[in-house]
Amino acid sequence: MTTAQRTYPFARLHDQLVEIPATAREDMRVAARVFADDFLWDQIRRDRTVDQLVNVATLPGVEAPALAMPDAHEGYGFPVGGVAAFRATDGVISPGGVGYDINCGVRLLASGLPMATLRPHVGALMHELGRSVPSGTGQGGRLTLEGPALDRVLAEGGRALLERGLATPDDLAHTEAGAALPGADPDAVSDRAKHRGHDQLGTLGSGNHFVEVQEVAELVDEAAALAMGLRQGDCVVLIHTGSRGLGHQVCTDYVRAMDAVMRREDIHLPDRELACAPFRSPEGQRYFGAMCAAANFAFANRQAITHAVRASFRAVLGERVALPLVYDVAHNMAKLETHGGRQLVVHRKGATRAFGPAHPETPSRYRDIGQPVLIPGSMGTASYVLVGTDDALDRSFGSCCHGAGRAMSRHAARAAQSGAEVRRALEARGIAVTGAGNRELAEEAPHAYKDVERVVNVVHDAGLARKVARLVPVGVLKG
Amino acid sequence: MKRARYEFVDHTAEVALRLTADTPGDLFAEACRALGALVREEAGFLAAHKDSVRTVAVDAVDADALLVNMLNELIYLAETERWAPSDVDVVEWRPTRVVLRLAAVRLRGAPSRIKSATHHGLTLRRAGRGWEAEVIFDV
Repeated sequence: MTTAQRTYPFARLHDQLVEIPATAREDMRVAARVFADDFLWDQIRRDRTVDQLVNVATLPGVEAPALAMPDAHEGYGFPVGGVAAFRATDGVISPGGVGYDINCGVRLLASGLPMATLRPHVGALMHELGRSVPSGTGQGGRLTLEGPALDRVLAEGGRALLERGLATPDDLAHTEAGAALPGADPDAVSDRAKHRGHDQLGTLGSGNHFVEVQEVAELVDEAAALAMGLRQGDCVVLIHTGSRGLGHQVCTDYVRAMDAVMRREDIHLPDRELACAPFRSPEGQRYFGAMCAAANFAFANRQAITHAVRASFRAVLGERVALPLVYDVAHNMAKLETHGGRQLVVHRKGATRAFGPAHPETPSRYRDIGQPVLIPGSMGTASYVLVGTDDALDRSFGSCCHGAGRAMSRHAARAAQSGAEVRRALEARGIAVTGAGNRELAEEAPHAYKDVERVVNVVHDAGLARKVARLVPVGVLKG
Repeated sequence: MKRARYEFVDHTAEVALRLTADTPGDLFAEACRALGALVREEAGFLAAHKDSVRTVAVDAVDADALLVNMLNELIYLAETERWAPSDVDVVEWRPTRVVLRLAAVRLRGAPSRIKSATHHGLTLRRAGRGWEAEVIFDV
């Protein structure tokens, strides 16, 4: 875009944190903070990320401060990588603050298999995964749900897949919120949204979504890794997708619906995509119910894909492969949480929840180490497993980055390297790629993203999460 | 008279569309053509859709929202019916309502790249003797 970025006064609070004071723009209600070292801060200031974060700091009922993670980049409404908490009593909930891909998230499966055992079968495995997990443009998935069956998924999330044999109790225990947000209201999801998503359960979608077969390349915290079932040299699987067309339509519907609410409530916004309603208003509650239902659809979607991934591994490697779920965590959601004794609606848009060992929502298996935090890198680069910290509750409402974060536009990425060149470069490094056309490969090339190592070091050094393991890709199924 | 035209311009993460036209109606028609080109490029297309010509009416509280709502209507049709506009006549245009007569092709698959048209950074305004707009799609 050609719109000039506005510059703001800022102060560096420490090596990983910059603050824009609440006085920087007259409509700000609270300060804005960006977790970044000098290098990333320079990158983040190149587009309208900071302007968007300052816009968030103007919203009614916002609690100090509005935050951006080190992978932040310009999005729409909120910046991607944005975190903001609003008082449940007098604050707002914003569909644009959650985004269109409601509960886009990541899950990690351990295999217990050494990569040396798997490597001769990678080609066959990627072929099987490409066949089993619909991706990109397609005709929908293998599960088509209508009426009460779809409503049950919206109400119960991953739990609805238990009796279908697509989930296990352990899967649910190791998914954020037990794979089902309790506030879900299927009746608040429009028929259009249900129609758009009815045949998409078990599908990846497009863009940066993927299934990656990876190797545990480095253990930073062996004890924490062991608690998660991760050993050096093991094969693991990382799955990244969300609520597909159903979630997109829920956001579209409610951004539109908020027009009337904002007129009635006399809410004036610097960016219309921040469309919002008071959380306690009927419209705010209805959106919250619809968003929770879409989030449950996303939990079920990743669970259905998990079932397909397990079936693919068994088809290639035999029945002994189990692939237990390490954890599943969302990075586009608004949740009602208690911080400092107050109920807050915490919006995380392109940001991961990162609760520490002491938090009651951390699964019992991880009470000694903290909630696993999964940070995928760009295609072909490392991904990271971290754990949340108790300190993160005070510093970031228990939040952390969600990935590397784009540094280059899609057009610029295509101009820099062709898809064919990207594919050849990945294959030269022993990384098998399937499911993506050359355009998608060029747009998602590693050079289009920030340096994930630098991003992860910032959240580690800032005490938002602790590094546990570094993963490197072996096979990529792109959406 | 200048011709209506569209171009896709740089954005860090999303897809941004820039439009120019002589009249608001022409500008909305050009937006339909741009979206049609976008989804046809992603999904590929066959010769004609079984409902190859249809009338679509969209309402909104103002012209900005009308542009966003119209594009979202077409995104919905593309994803759920594999229906993408190839040509368009604007039957009626006012700031809160547009009625379109659309010819369409059948897509080979359901496009999934474009999630929604957004209000972020949206501009719709007079420019000299004509009109211009920018709209960002979430991808």
